[in-house]
Amino acid sequence: MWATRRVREAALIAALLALPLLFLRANVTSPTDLNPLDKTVLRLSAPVQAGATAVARKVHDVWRGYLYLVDLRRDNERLRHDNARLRAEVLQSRHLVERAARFERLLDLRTELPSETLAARVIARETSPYFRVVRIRLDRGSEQIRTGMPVIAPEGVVGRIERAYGAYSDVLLAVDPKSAIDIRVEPSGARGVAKGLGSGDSYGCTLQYLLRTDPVRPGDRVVTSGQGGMFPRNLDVGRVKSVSREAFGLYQQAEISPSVDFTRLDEVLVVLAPPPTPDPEAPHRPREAARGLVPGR
Amino acid sequence: MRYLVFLAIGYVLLVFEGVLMLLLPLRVAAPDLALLVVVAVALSRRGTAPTHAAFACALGYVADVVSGGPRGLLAFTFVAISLVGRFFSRRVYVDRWWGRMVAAAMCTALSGAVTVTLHALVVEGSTARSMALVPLHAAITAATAPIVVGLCRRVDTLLGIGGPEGLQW
Repeated sequence: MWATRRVREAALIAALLALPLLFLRANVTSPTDLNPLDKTVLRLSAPVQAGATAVARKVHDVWRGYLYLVDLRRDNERLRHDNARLRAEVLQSRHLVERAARFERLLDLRTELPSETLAARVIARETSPYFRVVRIRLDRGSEQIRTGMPVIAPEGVVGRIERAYGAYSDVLLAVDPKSAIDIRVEPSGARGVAKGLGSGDSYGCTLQYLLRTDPVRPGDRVVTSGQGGMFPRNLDVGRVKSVSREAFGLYQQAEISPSVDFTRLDEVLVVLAPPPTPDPEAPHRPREAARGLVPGR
Repeated sequence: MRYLVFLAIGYVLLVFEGVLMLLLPLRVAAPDLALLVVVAVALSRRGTAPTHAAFACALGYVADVVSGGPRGLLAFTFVAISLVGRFFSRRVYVDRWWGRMVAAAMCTALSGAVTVTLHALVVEGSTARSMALVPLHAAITAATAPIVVGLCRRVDTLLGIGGPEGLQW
């Protein structure tokens, strides 16, 4: 009886250990597919996270703007109260100015880009130090959002949509080890691939497949090449921090500091469609009639 | 009922962790609060190993979905940690705050090692860099262990439907 119970318990435990591995295997085969259970958890979690973030931001603002001033001398309490109120207003105004500036830069970027974009707000950051994923809330309908769509900020590349569900999406940051972006180093024009380091204490990327002969130096600007049809061309990725060359081999490696400060990410843009591919034959092609009119007549 | 309450606590702590990380001005390793709930349940002397493992699997799966990592990774790690915690709870009496910290540090370190290894096997990535983070992550998680494990113990006491044996930690 006791032995039967032990065997049953061992079998149950083995099954419970195997179950997550089956999930993991399924996830590796199709990482972006969400089953109904995932969708339910995410649909429940995202609004809760958005609500919790909104409350925490309010508390944070109140704490920064007012509460730390309560320990004042009693004799000039009224003056200090006014002072606190004004300080809070100034902080609030600064916050609004900063926010307006951020929106302005975002709007500039939106008008500069040849592709259609959608604004979104970051509502949560990764909870595990081993992944680099943030959750965003879109400002309008989510029907157009697809996995793989680029996500950018005024400072440069943020990452790409890994999963989309309802009005919320998970963004795989450019600094995640799974991320790979085709880049160009300026001014040399060297081409390579920026891969996330997944370093725990900081955000960083490494440049791979840089030809050994390409003159890449610390401080060089790294931008998207526009190849691969994913990210628009010439978006900032970061700056070269260090370059290392082995004694042999075809390639050299470089580390870059991303241009985006991922710790202060607030608003982002999702690029809905890739930019139109330039047609190299266009200047040489004869002009065609439009709307039934013949040119030159 | 008991496990549903702990699942809810683990979920709330996961959401809290995400919000906390968003508001912190610097990037630091956050304590693994959900793992601490698994450790707390495993260290309690109530329930059987399969029920603990099932609870850990459910919370791990939720953590996988919420954290955005590969689904199944944290679920597997949490089940493994639940079994390790259960194994030690039968041999070592963990009652003092420092005992909880040591248990939490060991479990987090083990969980980090398992997560990083499995992650490296499944997704291409630097194992060495992530492994270097494990001790710091374990230390930060251990620092919050007395609070979270204490909270779980208090909740267990409030739910104390299992008689005096259920309240032994």
